[in-house]
Amino acid sequence: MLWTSFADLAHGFEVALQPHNLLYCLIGVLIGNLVGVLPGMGVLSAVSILLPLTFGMKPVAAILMISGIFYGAQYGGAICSILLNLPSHPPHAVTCLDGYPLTQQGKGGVALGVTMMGAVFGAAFGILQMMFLAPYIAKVAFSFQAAEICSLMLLGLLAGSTLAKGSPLKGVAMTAFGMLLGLVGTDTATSVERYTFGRFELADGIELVALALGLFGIAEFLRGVNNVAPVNTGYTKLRFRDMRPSKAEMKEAAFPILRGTLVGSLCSLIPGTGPVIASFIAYATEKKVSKTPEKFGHGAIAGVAAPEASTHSSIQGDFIPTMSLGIPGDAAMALLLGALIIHNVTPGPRLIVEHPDIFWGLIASFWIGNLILVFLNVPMIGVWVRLLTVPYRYLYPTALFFICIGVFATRNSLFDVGVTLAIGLFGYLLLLLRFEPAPMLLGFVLGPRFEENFRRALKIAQGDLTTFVDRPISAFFLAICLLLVGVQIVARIRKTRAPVRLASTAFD
Amino acid sequence: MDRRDFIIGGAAAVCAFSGRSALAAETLIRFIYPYAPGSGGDVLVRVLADDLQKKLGLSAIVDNKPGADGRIGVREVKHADPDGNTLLFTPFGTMVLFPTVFKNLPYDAFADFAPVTQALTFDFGLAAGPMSGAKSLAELTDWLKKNPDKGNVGMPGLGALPHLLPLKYAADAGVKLQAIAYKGTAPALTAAMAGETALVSAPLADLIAQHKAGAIRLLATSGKTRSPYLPDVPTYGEQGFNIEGSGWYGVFAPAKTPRDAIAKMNKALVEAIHSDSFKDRAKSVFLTATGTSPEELGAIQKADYERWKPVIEAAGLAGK
Repeated sequence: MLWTSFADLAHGFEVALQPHNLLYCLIGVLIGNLVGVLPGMGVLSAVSILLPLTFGMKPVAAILMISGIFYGAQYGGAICSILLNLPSHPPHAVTCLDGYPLTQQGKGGVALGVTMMGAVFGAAFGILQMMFLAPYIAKVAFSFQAAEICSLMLLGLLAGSTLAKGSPLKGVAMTAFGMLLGLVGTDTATSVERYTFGRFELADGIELVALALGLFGIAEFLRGVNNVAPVNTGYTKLRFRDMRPSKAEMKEAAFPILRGTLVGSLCSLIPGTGPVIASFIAYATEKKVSKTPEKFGHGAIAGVAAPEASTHSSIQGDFIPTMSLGIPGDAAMALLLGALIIHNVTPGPRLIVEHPDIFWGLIASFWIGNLILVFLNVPMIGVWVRLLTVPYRYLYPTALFFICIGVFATRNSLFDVGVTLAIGLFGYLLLLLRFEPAPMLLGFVLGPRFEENFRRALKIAQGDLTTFVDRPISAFFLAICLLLVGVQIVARIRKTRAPVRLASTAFD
Repeated sequence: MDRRDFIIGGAAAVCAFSGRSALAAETLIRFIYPYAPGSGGDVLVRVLADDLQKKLGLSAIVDNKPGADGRIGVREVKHADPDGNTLLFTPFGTMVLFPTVFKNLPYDAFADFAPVTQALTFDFGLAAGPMSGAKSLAELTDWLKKNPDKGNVGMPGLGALPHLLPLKYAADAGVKLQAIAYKGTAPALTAAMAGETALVSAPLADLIAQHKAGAIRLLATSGKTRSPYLPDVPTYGEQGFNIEGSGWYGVFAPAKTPRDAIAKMNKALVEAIHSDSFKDRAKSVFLTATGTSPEELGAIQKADYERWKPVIEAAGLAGK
């Protein structure tokens, strides 16, 4: 089994290293990287514009190029999150939380270095998983049904509502508010429109990109303009050695990267749970297991390493159901399948057998593409950090412009740009009142999936609530939920008995 | 790389990607597709635009205007200049089913649009996952009678044909069947393969690969005759049910578009649709190229509207 995999992989490298295919892989990751760095471009729109170009190409080359855009974009995605607090790609929103404080402390280069490490490790794990476990993983995915997903989302919400620094009560309030925002739009189960005020633009809900960019990017911009926080000027003198993570920092990042990778690969197994949820859960997990949770939100290396590794491992893992079952996990993967179909390749459970050149060529190109991306990005870290030396009065208006384009491009909708600006104003208000935006984003991402699957599970079980504890995986997640709440209650009781002890860390 | 390079590079990249030069605005044909990129219909309208560009020397682009189940994109075409250069490429739902399903539709499917041509047709399918093991509708009926608590069918969205057809089957066969809505075909298909639901109902094109691989089994197709892509799967009608309904993609223009502009566009489009290259592309996504006159499309639209209106109303799905 192992040896046939290696033989297949060797064949894959033969395919991927053909000059023609190599060239398109290179073009793909280059475009992807560029798309990732620019706040104004989404992966989806880039691919849909380039799709007609692939009509005249050979299928393998077309797939290598389009896939390259997907994972290449993730390499660039963290840059604006870390340096400018601009999460132009939703999976990297959570990276803002500790990445931007690191930048403010003059360690933006270090954060980018750690991101790169996490990216490589996460991606490598994801690819290995696809090489050796794809058929099994696809079957494991089947045991995650509505009840399991619902319980997992509940766990994510519980663990994540303490995501923020500062008041835990405010954190919970923000999570709940995020869930309410997530309700906006058409209800899947009944097709009833909720909180849309008769606007069709709201019928699909608030766009995640709009919410993330409004809460982080625009609110931060307003804060800078109004001089609430000092504008970062620590980058007038740059030295290359400031950009490399020190040994101690690498050590600090190692385990979070490992844990983040595992969370990411778990999330990629669960149908419809992509990199956004993966990165949030990785961050929340990391904060829960950390010995120094109080550091999170103030520039913890682990707070950058874990979600980034998780994103990359989840992105690679997302290819598994797409390639081995022929079922796309999200809109981006649906486009990839569309490209396969147009080349008369029927995606489906038989793809690996019928078109080994595509499957193994793709895997080989993942290795090659990730390698190219590392060589492309590591030397560029210095250049990106230099971006911060651009005077504020030029940098932020430009960024604001890109935000608007980025939001517009997501759905070709001007309405969403207005939504972003309104959310930005609201986010600024929250910042002034010391409410953290991160739990709100978490509630927004997980809440609707909790609700949708809760109702679906109940409907399938004919309204029987015991379905959530009858199913072992779901029961397991619920037990952890209980444990989590229990630990906090115990800690609270101890704290009131012995106020000197530091049990309050459990609430941070 | 200094700041100026960065800004210029960024601007160039944005221009290159969005690639919509305003220079050719007057001769630019704009197809509005009211859904996100990625589906078979989206791929084919791009092929069509590409063909028009090559064969007729026109500039043609596709604009994805997703939102509110297609209502935003359709509304945009209603308000577009009626000069024959902005066209709607849409599946039949927005023009046939929505007038009954939605009370607050921002357009009148008949008064606000002029039909140009029907481009493609397709069938729907009902498939069983491993839960029931049924190989035909008769076996399914037996199984559902024995397992009334497991009668769940996953489908991508309420009030559309994948919802209506299985409900009609259940009513006619006298079995209990509960429709479970998923966000799109992909999760509904996964649910059936995983044994979360017994059945999945969706456009046939989305089920063929998994059927051929044996992960699900198609029990019935919805056309008048068997699908050319699956000659071994019988229709509902062959199995004794009076259930039949096909879907289509059509091209529409704003209502006030001059007749000669529509005639001109119809001629160009039908020529492209009848070309072998387009027919082959259509086959690769399991659709069938047609290419009708504007009058024929108008008649099809009206007939389908009148046919499904009572079915939607009977299912209690009207006017939400």
